[in-house]
Amino acid sequence: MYSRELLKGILKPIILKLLSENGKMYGYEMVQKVKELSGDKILIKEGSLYPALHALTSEGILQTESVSVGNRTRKYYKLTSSGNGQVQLALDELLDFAQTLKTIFEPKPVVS
Amino acid sequence: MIIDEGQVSFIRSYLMGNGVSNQSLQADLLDHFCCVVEEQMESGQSFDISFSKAVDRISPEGPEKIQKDLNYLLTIKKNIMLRKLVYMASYVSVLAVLTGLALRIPQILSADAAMLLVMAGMLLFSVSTVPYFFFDRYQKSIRELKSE
Repeated sequence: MYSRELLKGILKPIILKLLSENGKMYGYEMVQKVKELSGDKILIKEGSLYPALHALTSEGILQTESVSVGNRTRKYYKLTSSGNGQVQLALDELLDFAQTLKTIFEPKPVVS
Repeated sequence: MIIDEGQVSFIRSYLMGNGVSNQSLQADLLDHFCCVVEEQMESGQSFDISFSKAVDRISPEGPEKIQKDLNYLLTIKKNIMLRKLVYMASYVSVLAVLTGLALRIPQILSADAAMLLVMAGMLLFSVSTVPYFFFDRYQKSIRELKSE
């Protein structure tokens, strides 16, 4: 399991990627999906997820849809058209960052 | 498995009693708690044990911490902008007062012009820095009162 500090900066791209592939999702579903996709290595904390979802909603990147489930309301999050436009940018930036980290941390062959 | 109305009400009361006043966040957390409790109950646990596990998993620092983090994220940009404006206004007002006085002494500015500049600086200071200072002090005192 990765530390909270490492996951902080990648929460937004994860949310955008999930929603771009799955259309609409609710919080618990996102946590479970990421856990499953990462082989239990990435556990999104609810305390980080909901503030991020609300902030993205107030920025106009996400919108919500409420559905009644049993005796409670379930809020589905989905990308707005502006949010759709940001997905590729966020993913490209993250992949570029990952590549840069690899360049820094990968052991270099010793030249004799 | 869907938990019953009484159990949902219990979780809702827990959230409301622990500082989650934002309706939208409350709906999110209520559904999330219900999902985790249902998941635990499906594996044979009682409601009480399932709820206790859900609390440990979702909000180990208390649900009010989630609302606090949410409020911080939603207001941080606005607060930074407000501070920038107040600090700039403070600088301009002090600059106006000092310039008025400094240019009056060697009589570069007339008495009326210097007075006008000083007055403008004082006015700007009193409508920007002073109210912000007291508002900030008020907020701090409320926070201290609540944490007692």
